[in-house]
Amino acid sequence: MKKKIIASVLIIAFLIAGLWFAQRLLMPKYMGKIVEGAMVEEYYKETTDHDVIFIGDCEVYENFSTIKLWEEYGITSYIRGSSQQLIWQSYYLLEETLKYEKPKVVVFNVLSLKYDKPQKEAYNRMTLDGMKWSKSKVDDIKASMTEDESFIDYVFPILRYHSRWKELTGDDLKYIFEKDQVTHNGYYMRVDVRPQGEFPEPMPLDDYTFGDNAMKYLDMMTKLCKDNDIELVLIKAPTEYPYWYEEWDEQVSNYASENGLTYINMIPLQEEIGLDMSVDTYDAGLHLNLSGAEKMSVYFGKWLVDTYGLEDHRNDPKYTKVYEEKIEYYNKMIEEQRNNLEE
Amino acid sequence: MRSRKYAALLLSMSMAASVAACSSTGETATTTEAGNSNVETQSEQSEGGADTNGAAKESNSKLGFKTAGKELKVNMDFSEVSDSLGEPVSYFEAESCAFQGLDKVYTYSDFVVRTYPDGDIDRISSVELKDDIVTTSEGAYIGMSGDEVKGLYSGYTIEGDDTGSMTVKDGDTKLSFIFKDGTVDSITYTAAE
Repeated sequence: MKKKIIASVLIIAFLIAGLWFAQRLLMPKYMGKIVEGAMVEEYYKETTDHDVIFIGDCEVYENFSTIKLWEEYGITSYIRGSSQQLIWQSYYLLEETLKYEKPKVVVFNVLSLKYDKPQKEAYNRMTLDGMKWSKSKVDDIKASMTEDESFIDYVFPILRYHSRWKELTGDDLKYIFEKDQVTHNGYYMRVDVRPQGEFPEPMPLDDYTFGDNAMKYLDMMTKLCKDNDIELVLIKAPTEYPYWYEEWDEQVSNYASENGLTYINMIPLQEEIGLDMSVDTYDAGLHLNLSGAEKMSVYFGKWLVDTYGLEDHRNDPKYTKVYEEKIEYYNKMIEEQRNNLEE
Repeated sequence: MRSRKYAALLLSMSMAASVAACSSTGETATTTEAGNSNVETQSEQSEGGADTNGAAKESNSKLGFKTAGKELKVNMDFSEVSDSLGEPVSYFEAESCAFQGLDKVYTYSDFVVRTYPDGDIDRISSVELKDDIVTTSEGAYIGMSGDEVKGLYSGYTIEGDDTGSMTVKDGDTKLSFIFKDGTVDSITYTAAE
């Protein structure tokens, strides 16, 4: 009888392990062209806390260099960004982050207010699959799912990714347990240059009012920060496309005034920041490259220090060794990317 | 011997469960993948594009813009009509985040077509009429009054009025008339929410 029980337990354990392994193997690794899906989980490897947390879409993770913020001002920061991060995803990522640490300032990029409901499964996956399981993740999934998605597919991703077996590559095995680091405290680096050209005229909208659902999550974010004595700063990144309508700008500005928040639209500040969009963008003006992101960090870091008196941690032994390694990796990636461009 | 049977039974149950799981999600996967074989490649979707909310599909709307003997509809494959439209006055493309696709904007002399990537296909996300030389299929044009628009679309439910905008929805398409000083100032076809 005892042998039977042991055998049963072993078989069940073997089956569970097999399924778990298959699931790990079949899930996208995001280590090729599309690394954005690997960003969210990198946060859990952090060993020190951060005074500033950025949340939002590509307009934060491509436009601010966290390492430059450290080098110039000793600001510890992390960007919890992901592609097309919708505002409810930003909220739940922030809620989850506050379980790990309590930053002094949270910076949220407001472009995602234009979306009032779930959009694309692919983007959802890039944000949600990397999150550790928690109530925040459960709520995030529920808020994010499109009509065609189901919760169980997030619980058991193998149900969703089983058809990938036909496309498995060596990378799926290589990165099955451990992935390469793709960001620098959430900052996605690009050193290449593609000058900004002319953008098409914006399409007129029949209604410029942000949706109720999006505004509900902005309210929740505001309350979450207030309840935790965190300064919430709303920003619009300096890039001009996708178009940021004046009517949207006015709504955010009014919201910030009504709720005692700071809102900075950086589009009209391009010159003050020192941005030259003929050299500071890698994709014709949609996102900043390394030089642009570093200029942004120098400008915004000064503002953060002047406004909130953030502490300079550069001589704090708690952080120095950690950031020495981060700087080393940052410089190594710069060199590698530049070498690749020259080849 | 009995242990082996028990093991086989467990293995069979597990395999059956896996197959059942695959079967039950097969339909969903096909629908959501929109022709792509996995989620990672599907991420070639646009951040700069419109609020399209969901997988791409061919238009199921009666609303469309006729020009050059073709009818342009939201969500249709733009390559089906692009050759007939001739060369655009200007062309713009923008890479989407986590990219491999491109949002494209084709500006013609009297209208603008915007597309979004759906795998290898560029589907129309919007059509914007720019001047009164062109009309909607029902005959509406820039400069028309609100009452005239209502008359042309009497068979549809119209939301809004001529102090701001009027919208006509049918299937997956929303036709918007934006007014300025009581007359139509802009006409756009976009995806209905």
